[in-house]
Amino acid sequence: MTGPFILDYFLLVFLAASGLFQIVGACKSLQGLLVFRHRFGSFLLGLVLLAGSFTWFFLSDDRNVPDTAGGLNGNQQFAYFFAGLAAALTSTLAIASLVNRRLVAADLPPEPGLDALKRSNYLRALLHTWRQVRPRSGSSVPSGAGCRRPDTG
Amino acid sequence: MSLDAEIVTWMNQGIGMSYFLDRVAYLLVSDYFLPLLMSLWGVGLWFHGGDSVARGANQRGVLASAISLGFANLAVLILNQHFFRDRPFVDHDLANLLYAPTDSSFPANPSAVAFGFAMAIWLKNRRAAAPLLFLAALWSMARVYNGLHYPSDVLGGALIGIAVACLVTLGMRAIEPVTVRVLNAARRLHLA
Repeated sequence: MTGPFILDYFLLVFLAASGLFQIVGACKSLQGLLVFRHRFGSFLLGLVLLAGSFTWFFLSDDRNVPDTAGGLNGNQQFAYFFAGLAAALTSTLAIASLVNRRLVAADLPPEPGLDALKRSNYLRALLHTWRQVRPRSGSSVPSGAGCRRPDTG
Repeated sequence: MSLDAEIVTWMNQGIGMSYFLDRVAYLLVSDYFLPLLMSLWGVGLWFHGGDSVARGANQRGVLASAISLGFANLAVLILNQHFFRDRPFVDHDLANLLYAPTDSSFPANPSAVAFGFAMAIWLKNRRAAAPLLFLAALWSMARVYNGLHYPSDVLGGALIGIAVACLVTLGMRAIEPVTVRVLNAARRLHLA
């Protein structure tokens, strides 16, 4: 029973977290996190995923299973929770970036942190940050850079 | 009969009286329902906050709660090596909707991790932690209702969780530069 139970738990976390991201994205106006253009549609999808995943998991089988008989112990729950969460976040950001591929902050650079997702999709925001951070190949430090200009006054 | 046992026996009489109540109790006592609900609340809190400062405080709370959960679990594990107390359903004739755990009844691990998790957030954002404290109390009560723990077990577990959360929060203040680095790295990835 261990295999299917782990898979079911992983699916529960994955679906519930995916739903949560849609609800949070809709409530916080993080358009770059939404898989629908309309916030209300994303919010509804989030609610369905969240409620549906719990309903499916707990009504489809007996879930009060000890870890000695195929259930999960505390450490396993912790590990599979993070695995499901990471999978949900990755897939949400990938799908949302595809759906919102035209969502680009017109002339302003994306804001730092999560706020960037209000006006830009995730991949573009990440690309912008990466361009800012990476060292420019082939460019040398301009002469005099880092040196104080001698006072002339 | 001790007061502990009297309370468990009295509460446990509710099992079998109503199908609906039993289904609710079955859900509340589960190892997967309330813990997952609380964890998802923590994930939601990671995104919550009017501005980046408020959000940063919430994110510190979420980090502290995850660490507290681990340390509370460890504290119970260590205590279990030294103390052993039989479960109420072993000592008394009680109904149980969960399986029959074989580890020590004292201290209650679910109460320790749930209150540790909730308390770490309470120290940063009391409003956001109120539902978590309610869920932690509900989970603990469900464990007593099902004859899995005595009230003193859940009280002991809760105190351990609260103490661990306070220590972790203090410890995180001492290593604030590390927390700042973690949050800054997440911000650079647009995840915080």
